[in-house]
Amino acid sequence: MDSKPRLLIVDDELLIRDLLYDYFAARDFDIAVAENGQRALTLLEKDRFDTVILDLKIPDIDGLELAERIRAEHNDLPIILITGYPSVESAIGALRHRVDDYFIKPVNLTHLRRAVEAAVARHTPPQAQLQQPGGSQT
Amino acid sequence: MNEPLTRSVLVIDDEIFIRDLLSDFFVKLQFGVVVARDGNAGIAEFRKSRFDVALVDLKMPGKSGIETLRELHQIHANTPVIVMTGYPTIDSSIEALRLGAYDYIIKPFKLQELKDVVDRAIKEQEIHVEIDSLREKVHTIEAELRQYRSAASERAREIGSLPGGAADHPPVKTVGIPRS
Repeated sequence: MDSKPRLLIVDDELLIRDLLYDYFAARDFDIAVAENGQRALTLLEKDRFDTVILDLKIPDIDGLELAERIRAEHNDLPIILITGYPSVESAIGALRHRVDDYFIKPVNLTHLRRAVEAAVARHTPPQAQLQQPGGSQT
Repeated sequence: MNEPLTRSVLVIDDEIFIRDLLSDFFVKLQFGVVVARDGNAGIAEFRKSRFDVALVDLKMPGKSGIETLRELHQIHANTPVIVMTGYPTIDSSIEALRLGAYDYIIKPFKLQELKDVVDRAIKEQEIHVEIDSLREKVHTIEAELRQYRSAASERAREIGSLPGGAADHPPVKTVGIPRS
Protein backbone atom coordinates (compact mmCIF):
# COMPACT_ATOMS: atom_id res chain seq x y z
CA MET A 1 0.00 0.00 0.00
CA ASP A 2 1.26 3.47 -0.85
CA SER A 3 1.61 5.18 2.52
CA LYS A 4 2.50 8.65 1.26
CA PRO A 5 -0.13 11.25 2.13
CA ARG A 6 -1.81 12.60 -0.99
CA LEU A 7 -2.03 16.34 -1.35
CA LEU A 8 -3.92 18.37 -3.94
CA ILE A 9 -2.62 21.90 -4.49
CA VAL A 10 -5.02 24.29 -6.23
CA ASP A 11 -3.57 27.65 -7.21
CA ASP A 12 -3.57 29.61 -10.46
CA GLU A 13 -0.09 31.04 -9.80
CA LEU A 14 2.60 28.80 -11.25
CA LEU A 15 5.15 30.16 -8.81
CA ILE A 16 3.04 29.14 -5.81
CA ARG A 17 2.22 25.72 -7.29
CA ASP A 18 5.90 25.04 -7.91
CA LEU A 19 6.95 26.32 -4.51
CA LEU A 20 4.42 24.19 -2.66
CA TYR A 21 5.07 21.18 -4.90
CA ASP A 22 8.81 21.29 -4.23
CA TYR A 23 8.36 21.88 -0.52
CA PHE A 24 5.91 19.04 0.08
CA ALA A 25 7.51 16.63 -2.40
CA ALA A 26 10.74 17.00 -0.43
CA ARG A 27 8.76 15.96 2.65
CA ASP A 28 7.48 12.74 1.16
CA PHE A 29 4.03 13.81 0.04
CA ASP A 30 2.40 12.50 -3.09
CA ILE A 31 1.18 15.63 -4.87
CA ALA A 32 -1.17 16.65 -7.64
CA VAL A 33 -1.58 20.23 -8.77
CA ALA A 34 -4.48 22.05 -10.39
CA GLU A 35 -4.39 25.52 -11.87
CA ASN A 36 -8.14 26.08 -11.60
CA GLY A 37 -11.26 24.82 -9.90
CA GLN A 38 -12.55 22.66 -12.71
CA ARG A 39 -9.26 20.80 -12.95
CA ALA A 40 -9.32 20.33 -9.17
CA LEU A 41 -12.82 18.83 -9.29
CA THR A 42 -11.75 16.48 -12.09
CA LEU A 43 -8.75 15.29 -10.09
CA LEU A 44 -10.90 14.84 -7.00
CA GLU A 45 -13.32 12.68 -8.96
CA LYS A 46 -10.52 10.43 -10.18
CA ASP A 47 -8.26 10.13 -7.15
CA ARG A 48 -8.32 9.96 -3.40
CA PHE A 49 -6.62 12.80 -1.51
CA ASP A 50 -5.85 13.35 2.14
CA THR A 51 -5.83 17.16 2.08
CA VAL A 52 -6.48 20.02 -0.34
CA ILE A 53 -4.57 23.29 -0.25
CA LEU A 54 -6.83 25.76 -2.00
CA ASP A 55 -6.16 29.31 -3.11
CA LEU A 56 -9.14 31.52 -2.37
CA LYS A 57 -8.84 33.46 -5.63
CA ILE A 58 -8.75 31.23 -8.66
CA PRO A 59 -10.00 32.23 -12.09
CA ASP A 60 -12.94 29.97 -12.85
CA ILE A 61 -14.63 29.29 -9.48
CA ASP A 62 -14.61 31.31 -6.27
CA GLY A 63 -12.45 29.49 -3.74
CA LEU A 64 -15.22 29.36 -1.14
CA GLU A 65 -17.66 28.01 -3.69
CA LEU A 66 -15.13 25.37 -4.64
CA ALA A 67 -14.68 24.52 -0.96
CA GLU A 68 -18.44 24.09 -0.69
CA ARG A 69 -18.53 21.83 -3.75
CA ILE A 70 -15.66 19.76 -2.40
CA ARG A 71 -17.48 19.49 0.95
CA ALA A 72 -20.62 18.28 -0.81
CA GLU A 73 -18.77 15.39 -2.44
CA HIS A 74 -16.01 14.70 0.08
CA ASN A 75 -17.41 15.63 3.45
CA ASP A 76 -14.40 14.65 5.54
CA LEU A 77 -11.65 15.83 3.21
CA PRO A 78 -9.57 18.53 4.95
CA ILE A 79 -9.37 21.83 3.10
CA ILE A 80 -6.77 24.48 3.88
CA LEU A 81 -7.35 27.90 2.33
CA ILE A 82 -4.53 30.23 1.37
CA THR A 83 -5.03 33.78 0.19
CA GLY A 84 -3.21 36.96 -0.59
CA TYR A 85 -6.45 38.89 -0.13
CA PRO A 86 -7.65 38.10 3.38
CA SER A 87 -10.90 39.53 4.70
CA VAL A 88 -13.23 39.00 7.63
CA GLU A 89 -15.93 37.95 5.18
CA SER A 90 -13.85 35.22 3.56
CA ALA A 91 -12.59 33.97 6.93
CA ILE A 92 -16.18 33.73 8.18
CA GLY A 93 -17.17 32.06 4.91
CA ALA A 94 -14.35 29.57 5.40
CA LEU A 95 -15.49 28.89 8.96
CA ARG A 96 -19.07 28.30 7.76
CA HIS A 97 -17.89 25.89 5.08
CA ARG A 98 -15.97 23.90 7.68
CA VAL A 99 -12.61 24.75 6.13
CA ASP A 100 -9.88 23.36 8.35
CA ASP A 101 -7.47 26.27 8.23
CA TYR A 102 -6.90 29.64 6.61
CA PHE A 103 -3.47 31.09 5.84
CA ILE A 104 -2.50 34.51 4.58
CA LYS A 105 0.14 34.78 1.84
CA PRO A 106 3.06 34.93 2.03
CA VAL A 107 2.51 31.67 3.87
CA ASN A 108 4.88 30.50 6.55
CA LEU A 109 5.68 27.07 5.12
CA THR A 110 6.46 25.51 8.46
CA HIS A 111 3.06 26.55 9.82
CA LEU A 112 1.37 25.35 6.66
CA ARG A 113 3.16 22.00 6.85
CA ARG A 114 2.06 21.56 10.47
CA ALA A 115 -1.54 22.32 9.48
CA VAL A 116 -1.34 19.86 6.57
CA GLU A 117 0.15 17.14 8.75
CA ALA A 118 -2.53 17.67 11.40
CA ALA A 119 -5.23 17.56 8.73
CA VAL A 120 -3.81 14.39 7.15
CA ALA A 121 -3.65 12.72 10.57
CA ARG A 122 -7.30 13.57 11.19
CA HIS A 123 -8.37 12.38 7.77
CA THR A 124 -6.38 9.17 7.44
CA PRO A 125 -8.48 6.31 8.78
CA PRO A 126 -6.75 4.02 11.24
CA GLN A 127 -6.73 1.16 8.74
CA ALA A 128 -4.28 -0.86 10.75
CA GLN A 129 -6.77 -1.04 13.59
CA LEU A 130 -9.53 -2.27 11.32
CA GLN A 131 -7.50 -5.07 9.73
CA GLN A 132 -7.89 -8.29 11.61
CA PRO A 133 -5.22 -10.96 11.46
CA GLY A 134 -6.70 -14.14 10.11
CA GLY A 135 -9.67 -12.31 8.64
CA SER A 136 -11.13 -13.41 5.33
CA GLN A 137 -8.78 -12.81 2.45
CA THR A 138 -9.47 -13.01 -1.21
CA MET B 1 -44.92 26.74 16.23
CA ASN B 2 -44.02 25.03 19.47
CA GLU B 3 -40.34 24.31 19.99
CA PRO B 4 -39.12 21.36 22.06
CA LEU B 5 -38.72 22.26 25.73
CA THR B 6 -35.45 20.49 26.18
CA ARG B 7 -33.18 22.89 24.31
CA SER B 8 -30.75 24.98 26.26
CA VAL B 9 -28.43 27.87 25.56
CA LEU B 10 -25.56 29.41 27.49
CA VAL B 11 -25.03 33.13 26.85
CA ILE B 12 -21.64 34.56 27.81
CA ASP B 13 -21.44 38.33 27.37
CA ASP B 14 -20.17 41.15 29.56
CA GLU B 15 -22.91 43.54 28.41
CA ILE B 16 -26.00 43.24 30.57
CA PHE B 17 -28.16 44.63 27.78
CA ILE B 18 -27.13 41.78 25.48
CA ARG B 19 -27.52 39.16 28.19
CA ASP B 20 -31.03 40.39 29.00
CA LEU B 21 -32.01 40.72 25.36
CA LEU B 22 -30.86 37.21 24.45
CA SER B 23 -32.20 35.71 27.64
CA ASP B 24 -35.69 37.15 27.03
CA PHE B 25 -35.59 36.12 23.39
CA PHE B 26 -34.63 32.50 24.00
CA VAL B 27 -36.91 32.11 27.02
CA LYS B 28 -39.80 33.14 24.77
CA LEU B 29 -38.67 30.40 22.37
CA GLN B 30 -38.92 27.95 25.29
CA PHE B 31 -35.18 27.48 25.63
CA GLY B 32 -33.61 26.90 28.97
CA VAL B 33 -31.26 29.89 29.29
CA VAL B 34 -28.24 30.45 31.52
CA VAL B 35 -26.31 33.70 31.31
CA ALA B 36 -22.77 34.49 32.40
CA ARG B 37 -21.08 37.87 32.53
CA ASP B 38 -17.55 36.74 31.71
CA GLY B 39 -15.53 33.84 30.40
CA ASN B 40 -14.73 32.25 33.74
CA ALA B 41 -18.35 32.34 34.92
CA GLY B 42 -19.45 30.91 31.59
CA ILE B 43 -16.92 28.09 31.75
CA ALA B 44 -18.09 27.26 35.29
CA GLU B 45 -21.70 27.02 34.05
CA PHE B 46 -20.57 24.96 31.08
CA ARG B 47 -18.88 22.47 33.40
CA LYS B 48 -21.99 22.18 35.56
CA SER B 49 -24.56 21.51 32.83
CA ARG B 50 -24.80 20.30 29.26
CA PHE B 51 -26.03 22.91 26.81
CA ASP B 52 -27.21 22.48 23.25
CA VAL B 53 -25.39 25.60 22.17
CA ALA B 54 -23.21 28.36 23.64
CA LEU B 55 -23.08 32.01 22.54
CA VAL B 56 -19.82 33.74 23.39
CA ASP B 57 -18.95 37.41 23.04
CA LEU B 58 -15.42 37.91 21.76
CA LYS B 59 -14.48 41.08 23.59
CA MET B 60 -14.87 40.68 27.32
CA PRO B 61 -12.80 41.89 30.24
CA GLY B 62 -10.63 39.18 31.75
CA LYS B 63 -10.72 35.99 29.75
CA SER B 64 -11.20 36.73 26.04
CA GLY B 65 -13.91 35.16 23.96
CA ILE B 66 -11.28 33.23 21.99
CA GLU B 67 -9.76 31.80 25.16
CA THR B 68 -13.26 31.02 26.45
CA LEU B 69 -14.06 29.24 23.17
CA ARG B 70 -10.86 27.19 23.49
CA GLU B 71 -11.76 26.08 27.00
CA LEU B 72 -15.39 25.33 26.17
CA HIS B 73 -14.20 23.02 23.40
CA GLN B 74 -11.79 21.31 25.76
CA ILE B 75 -14.71 20.60 28.11
CA HIS B 76 -17.33 19.48 25.57
CA ALA B 77 -15.88 19.45 22.07
CA ASN B 78 -19.21 18.57 20.47
CA THR B 79 -21.26 21.47 21.78
CA PRO B 80 -21.55 24.11 19.06
CA VAL B 81 -20.17 27.49 20.09
CA ILE B 82 -21.26 30.62 18.25
CA VAL B 83 -18.98 33.62 18.55
CA MET B 84 -20.51 37.11 18.61
CA THR B 85 -18.63 40.35 18.19
CA GLY B 86 -19.05 44.02 17.49
CA TYR B 87 -15.37 44.22 16.54
CA PRO B 88 -14.76 41.68 13.79
CA THR B 89 -11.17 41.16 12.68
CA ILE B 90 -9.42 38.81 10.29
CA ASP B 91 -7.27 37.43 13.10
CA SER B 92 -10.15 36.65 15.43
CA SER B 93 -12.24 35.09 12.66
CA ILE B 94 -9.31 32.85 11.64
CA GLU B 95 -8.71 31.95 15.28
CA ALA B 96 -12.40 31.12 15.72
CA LEU B 97 -12.20 28.91 12.61
CA ARG B 98 -9.13 27.09 13.97
CA LEU B 99 -10.80 26.54 17.32
CA GLY B 100 -13.88 25.04 15.69
CA ALA B 101 -16.45 27.76 16.34
CA TYR B 102 -19.75 26.87 14.73
CA ASP B 103 -20.32 30.43 13.53
CA TYR B 104 -19.02 33.97 13.88
CA ILE B 105 -21.69 36.61 13.84
CA ILE B 106 -21.26 40.33 13.81
CA LYS B 107 -23.18 42.68 16.13
CA PRO B 108 -25.62 44.19 15.65
CA PHE B 109 -27.47 41.18 14.28
CA LYS B 110 -31.12 40.40 13.83
CA LEU B 111 -32.49 38.06 16.47
CA GLN B 112 -34.16 35.96 13.81
CA GLU B 113 -30.78 35.45 12.13
CA LEU B 114 -29.31 34.33 15.43
CA LYS B 115 -32.21 31.97 15.97
CA ASP B 116 -31.67 30.46 12.51
CA VAL B 117 -27.99 29.88 13.29
CA VAL B 118 -28.82 28.36 16.67
CA ASP B 119 -31.48 26.09 15.17
CA ARG B 120 -29.05 24.95 12.47
CA ALA B 121 -26.30 24.30 15.00
CA ILE B 122 -28.60 22.18 17.16
CA LYS B 123 -29.96 20.28 14.17
CA GLU B 124 -26.46 19.51 12.87
CA GLN B 125 -25.38 18.41 16.31
CA GLU B 126 -28.35 16.06 16.51
CA ILE B 127 -27.37 14.60 13.14
CA HIS B 128 -23.77 14.11 14.33
CA VAL B 129 -25.00 12.32 17.43
CA GLU B 130 -27.16 10.09 15.26
CA ILE B 131 -24.25 9.35 12.90
CA ASP B 132 -21.97 8.53 15.85
CA SER B 133 -24.61 6.19 17.24
CA LEU B 134 -24.97 4.43 13.87
CA ARG B 135 -21.16 4.15 13.55
CA GLU B 136 -21.06 2.56 16.99
CA LYS B 137 -23.67 0.04 15.93
CA VAL B 138 -21.75 -0.77 12.74
CA HIS B 139 -18.55 -1.31 14.76
CA THR B 140 -20.40 -3.64 17.12
CA ILE B 141 -21.84 -5.63 14.24
CA GLU B 142 -18.42 -5.81 12.54
CA ALA B 143 -16.84 -7.08 15.75
CA GLU B 144 -19.55 -9.73 16.10
CA LEU B 145 -19.06 -10.76 12.50
CA ARG B 146 -15.31 -11.12 12.95
CA GLN B 147 -15.87 -13.28 16.04
CA TYR B 148 -18.35 -15.40 14.13
CA ARG B 149 -15.96 -15.85 11.20
CA SER B 150 -13.12 -16.69 13.53
CA ALA B 151 -15.25 -19.31 15.33
CA ALA B 152 -16.37 -20.72 11.99
CA SER B 153 -12.75 -21.02 10.79
CA GLU B 154 -11.74 -22.69 14.02
CA ARG B 155 -14.63 -25.12 13.73
CA ALA B 156 -13.68 -25.87 10.12
CA ARG B 157 -10.10 -26.62 11.19
CA GLU B 158 -11.35 -28.93 13.94
CA ILE B 159 -13.52 -30.84 11.47
CA GLY B 160 -10.64 -31.01 9.00
CA SER B 161 -8.27 -32.55 11.57
CA LEU B 162 -10.65 -35.37 12.60
CA PRO B 163 -9.99 -38.86 11.14
CA GLY B 164 -12.02 -39.08 7.99
CA GLY B 165 -12.50 -35.33 8.17
CA ALA B 166 -11.81 -32.74 5.54
CA ALA B 167 -8.02 -33.23 5.85
CA ASP B 168 -8.41 -36.70 4.34
CA HIS B 169 -10.27 -35.31 1.38
CA PRO B 170 -9.35 -32.91 -1.40
CA PRO B 171 -9.23 -29.34 -0.10
CA VAL B 172 -12.47 -27.45 0.08
CA LYS B 173 -12.28 -24.05 -1.52
CA THR B 174 -14.35 -21.92 0.83
CA VAL B 175 -15.70 -22.30 4.30
CA GLY B 176 -17.65 -19.60 6.03
CA ILE B 177 -20.58 -17.30 5.81
CA PRO B 178 -22.34 -16.99 2.51
CA ARG B 179 -22.10 -13.44 1.20
CA SER B 180 -25.15 -11.74 -0.06
